[in-house]
Amino acid sequence: MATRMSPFGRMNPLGDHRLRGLADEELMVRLSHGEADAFDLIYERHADAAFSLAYRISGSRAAAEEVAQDAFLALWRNGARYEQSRGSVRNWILGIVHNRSIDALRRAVRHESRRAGDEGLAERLMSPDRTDDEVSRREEAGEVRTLLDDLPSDQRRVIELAYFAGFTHTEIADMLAIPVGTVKGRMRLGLEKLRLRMEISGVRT
Amino acid sequence: MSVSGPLYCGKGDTAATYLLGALPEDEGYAFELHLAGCARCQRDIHQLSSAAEALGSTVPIVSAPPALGDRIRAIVRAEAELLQAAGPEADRPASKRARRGPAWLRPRFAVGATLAAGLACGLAVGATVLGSSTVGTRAISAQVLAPGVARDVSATLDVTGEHGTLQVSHFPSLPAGRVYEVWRVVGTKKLPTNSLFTVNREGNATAAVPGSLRGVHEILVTQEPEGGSLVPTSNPIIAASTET
Repeated sequence: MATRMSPFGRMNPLGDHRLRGLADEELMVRLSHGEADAFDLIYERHADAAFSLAYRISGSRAAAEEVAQDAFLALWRNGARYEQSRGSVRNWILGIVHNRSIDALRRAVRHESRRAGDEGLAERLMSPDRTDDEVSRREEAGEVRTLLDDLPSDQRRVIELAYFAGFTHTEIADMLAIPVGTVKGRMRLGLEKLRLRMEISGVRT
Repeated sequence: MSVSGPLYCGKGDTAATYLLGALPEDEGYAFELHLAGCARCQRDIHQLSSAAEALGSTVPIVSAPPALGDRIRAIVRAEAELLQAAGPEADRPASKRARRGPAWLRPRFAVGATLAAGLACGLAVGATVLGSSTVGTRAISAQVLAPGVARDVSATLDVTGEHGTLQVSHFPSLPAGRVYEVWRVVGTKKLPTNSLFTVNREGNATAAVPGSLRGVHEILVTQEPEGGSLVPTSNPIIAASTET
């Protein structure tokens, strides 16, 4: 594979093929040194997941695009802030997307029509380019989804209302007509059970 | 290991609520301040974060629009080309410079001034000694503008000539995706800087204030999303006047 010049003028000793063989964490090191090619691959690997989460929370393609764009540009400009000890690159990216999506949601104060409803059904397309890593990620995501679905419904409900719908604990308490303390307790119990079941199932994070 | 048990801090279930993003902004910030000094809540965050983080990957996959990727890549390439054209010693894009954080996270000054502890510290001017040689540095004790903050939280703006360095002590760690951002106030305008920082295990950090302080009458710090913001999205938690 031919050696080529990166956009920053640095020699990239790895061609595209070998760059593709690098783990996310290795790409993040290169990205933090300004290698746009490394960014391209990180984007390629995680764009669908990032867009999907933003879309799930916002219920709007336009809002999801805006959040995803902000998140990936933040990653490009601040890639060195990624710490491997704090988890996978994907979860780091999804954490950024989640925070920005919730912030945007609350700024817009739109609690209606933000779920991915009919508009989203036709667009829930699987990416045609499924690498082994991506297949593995999606299998594990499916496993976590199953574990989440298996939680007691009262615990799962408060988790979903908070994480995916962006409601605060007081809003959820009002909605379900239960004390705030009960909402918080269900959140803790649900997350604790999910963590334990993930450990038992060997789901990596 | 179970996270249940005696509640030493009265924040028993708040860690999970916080990880799910379900605390209103003011409560979220108060909890972050509490976190800095509560081993139990730190343990809860550590234990439960993997489950909270995994939630993000459970959504049905929707392909990102190709135009989105084209747009993002175009911006990245444009920034890259600008940098290339400017040469290797040129400034990085604003937040790109900020990511070289470790250099300014290292404590560089021994702050000799006595800092007022607790909330809403009054402004005080002291002196700072750098190494063995005396340096003309003013240590300006900043106001910490947050309710429920621990008593030993403090912030100082060290001003040497026209340049400033912010020192913070015992501030709360931030969750993934959040950073502290330094702002310069000129007139009525809050100007963003590329100085983004997080704190170490002890809650301490040193952040350079980019550029000259000439014409700047106040330095602010807010909490912002990763990558920083162009306008503040939260209320200032530190305010340091340079006009003392």
